[in-house]
Amino acid sequence: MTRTLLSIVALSLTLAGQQTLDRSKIPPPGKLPVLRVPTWTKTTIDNGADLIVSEKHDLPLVSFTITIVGGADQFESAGKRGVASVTASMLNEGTRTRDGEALSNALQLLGTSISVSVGSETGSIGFVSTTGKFPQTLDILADMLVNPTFPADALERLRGQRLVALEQAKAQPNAIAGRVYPRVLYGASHPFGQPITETTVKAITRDDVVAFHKAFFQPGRAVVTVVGDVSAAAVKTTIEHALAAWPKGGEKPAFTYPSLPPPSSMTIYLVDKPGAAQSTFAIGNPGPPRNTPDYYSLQVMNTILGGMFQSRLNANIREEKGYSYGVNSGFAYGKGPGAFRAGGDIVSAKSDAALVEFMKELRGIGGSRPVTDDELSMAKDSLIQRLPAQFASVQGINGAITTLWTQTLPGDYYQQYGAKIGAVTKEDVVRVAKQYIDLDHLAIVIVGDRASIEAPLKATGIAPIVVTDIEGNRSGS
Amino acid sequence: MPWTARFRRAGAAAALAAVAALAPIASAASRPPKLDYTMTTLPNGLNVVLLEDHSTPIVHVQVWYHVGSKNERPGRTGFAHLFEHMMFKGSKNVEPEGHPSYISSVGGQSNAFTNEDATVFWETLPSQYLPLALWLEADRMATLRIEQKTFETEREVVKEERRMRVENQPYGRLQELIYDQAFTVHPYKHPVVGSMKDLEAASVDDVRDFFHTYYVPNNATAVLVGDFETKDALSLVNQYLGRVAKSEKPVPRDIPREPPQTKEKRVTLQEEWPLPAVVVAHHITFDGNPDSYPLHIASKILSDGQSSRIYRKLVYETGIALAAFGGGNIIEDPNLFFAVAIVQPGHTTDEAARALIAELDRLRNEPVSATELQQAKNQFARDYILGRESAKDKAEVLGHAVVIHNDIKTADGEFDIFQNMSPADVQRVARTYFTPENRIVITIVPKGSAQ
Repeated sequence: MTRTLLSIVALSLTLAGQQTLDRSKIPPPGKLPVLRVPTWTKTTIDNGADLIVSEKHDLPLVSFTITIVGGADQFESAGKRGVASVTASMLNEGTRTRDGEALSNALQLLGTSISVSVGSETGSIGFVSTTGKFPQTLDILADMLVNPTFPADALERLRGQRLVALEQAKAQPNAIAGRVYPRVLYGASHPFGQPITETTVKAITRDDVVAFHKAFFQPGRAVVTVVGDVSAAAVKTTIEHALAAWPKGGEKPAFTYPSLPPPSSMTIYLVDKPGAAQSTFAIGNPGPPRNTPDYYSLQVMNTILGGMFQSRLNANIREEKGYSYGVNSGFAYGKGPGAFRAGGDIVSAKSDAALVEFMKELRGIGGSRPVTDDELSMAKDSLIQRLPAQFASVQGINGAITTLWTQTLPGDYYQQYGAKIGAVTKEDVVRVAKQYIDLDHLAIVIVGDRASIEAPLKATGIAPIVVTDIEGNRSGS
Repeated sequence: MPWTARFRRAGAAAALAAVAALAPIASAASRPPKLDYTMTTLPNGLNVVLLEDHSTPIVHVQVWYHVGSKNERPGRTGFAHLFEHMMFKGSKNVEPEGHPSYISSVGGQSNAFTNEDATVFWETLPSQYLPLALWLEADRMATLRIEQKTFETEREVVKEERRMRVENQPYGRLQELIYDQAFTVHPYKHPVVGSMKDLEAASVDDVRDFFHTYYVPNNATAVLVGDFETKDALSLVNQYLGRVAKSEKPVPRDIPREPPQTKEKRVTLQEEWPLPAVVVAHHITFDGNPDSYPLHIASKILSDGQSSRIYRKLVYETGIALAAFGGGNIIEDPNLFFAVAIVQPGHTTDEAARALIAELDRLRNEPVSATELQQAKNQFARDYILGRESAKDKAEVLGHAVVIHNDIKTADGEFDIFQNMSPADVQRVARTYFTPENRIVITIVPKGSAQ
């Protein structure tokens, strides 16, 4: 798409039939609308949690979440990985006044459901309800948060489900790559490299769950975000009343991670999946935290490289070569050194050819294939113009505002975003590509049919091959 | 469009049908405002629906073509969906795959889907690019490129899609088997994605013929929702889509009717599945028929989720089934309600069939409880409101009302119908449709098993 074409003709708003229309000309855009970022108020409630309220009255809907700063990587021990997720599930299993079935029936009658999750650096509990059912749903949420009973039989049921899921994951190439890739990047002594395993799931006791709940769900590290058909003043009273029994305490964790292991020279880590029709690729290295000043340049760089359908990786490997249904790249931004990862599922017989193309594009963005004006403007437009769609639903607004709080971003972040992206230059793109994609030390994880792909991969001469098991441990062969 | 295009045999979960046709009950306070749309028909026959929504500076454009898999001829099944893919292969002024490329370059999204009744193309993009979206839609409506080479490539993509979604999935052929048994002449008999044999037989001449027959403004409805002034948007629609010529011949609507079933049908099939399955199906009415609303409620109470009657009885309480699910597929022409049980080892398919039928009989013999009805209504209320949240949601509701109901007023009018529903309404439709003579029982046993 060329910018010149887009600005050729002024659009005439004439009715059909009055003149012929030349459809060979791409219509120019209309008037640039003003970005309308939702507004919100921020206060603190009695027990110390922050409260953010954004009113939106076009529909009788309310999105409510309590977000906790810190997650499994801050609050789990290496031997008990999985306790965070088990605890989250257990909140649905009963309170002092409602057993699991009563909870489920009460929520069903309200026409909603409450979801609880604990991720690696944040956790949350929340729901979307109609305005009329908001107070009652909030009361149930508070009951789940403050008075859970953690019945022992439910723990065993959930443990059983997780063990089955872990067993099934052993057969899924994507799940295997999802375990091996962080292990080779971060090592076993870094929380990012410590997966949930059968051993850790079996080690979790009810006492662990009770202790995790107590330590983790504390208002001192929480933000309550309410978006939708409420009044900021009234909803504060409602929330303070509902959460009155949630005791004060807790503070935001420091997010201190152990230092990374020294990077190995570029290596292919091959995991055998006999008979696999496709090879799953994950290529990259540890990346910067979300608060890096290079964030905007990295966003533009990655959009050109692999952030969308038309990006270089997909244009080459899917559209031109047809080796895959889709490949992409991205950074896992957070408080810690989240990974840069390029990858996708590649038809087995083209594993070697695809690897050559991946490497070509990774080298290319680092300078060997210059960024064109069109690429730069298309990437920037895409990033800037997709912003408003984030604010189209109460859940979208809730997520957008809460992210500012969890990632400690400024309140005018969205207003400034366009200018920051707009300021990125071609030189910035090449600089951050070179700085954050370490071509000499890339980890290349490939899960696939070793018998058919190992020799061709070796023949590319790109990197030595180390065969690992499905946990990322060297097999020694 | 291979990247994201979808086909669906909708089942109860089809977002399209569910969003538009399921109108729930809420307390008076939680009633969504009516959609303040403008509707008009252009001289070339194109229906245009415009709804201003200034909450965010985006616009959503949806073009509905009233053609789906039920318009396909025998021997050409899967063609409507294959054609949907062809709509991304370029037009006179747009290169192949140029359409989604333009849209995403301005931060937008685009996609399409095909079901039994309609094929829908959409774009969501920043509102100042509304002319771009209309230009792209007009160019392919007027001057689609139809070339042998792209057609052959795309046909392979669709075959891969069928392999991925149907043939490589355990129980992936379940719906195909059910519909093949339940229908005799109506084209709902065949799946939206079609058969490999028919896809193979399709020719580029078929593509041209299909385009000139169905992809014409007098068979299309454009729905625009977003941050625009109605007057300006209508001007733009006139300027781009208003100039596409209408077809010379009327759009054919000669879809064979399914004759009523008069006695119970039982059949046993074999498949390469790990465990046997039992299906109990009943013919039901069409979307928009007064009976369709209580049928939605009945379907929800019977088979929606883990607290539904069928799940509780067959999976949770008796353990007859490893999984049990179902739903009413309430669409443009009369379709099916069906319930499926995957039989737990140690139990028989007969037990499972009896248990499924017992739950349907219970709905005929006793009224649903006030609590069950209220639960269903409250869930509908939330889904109804959530289904009108984004510009895309609203456009789907409006497009569905115009194209499938042929009555845009149903976009708002169904709320009250659900609000007023009683246990007697649910029992009445259960007695009408869940009768033995209207029943199909399909038992599917693993190939080579003795059962």
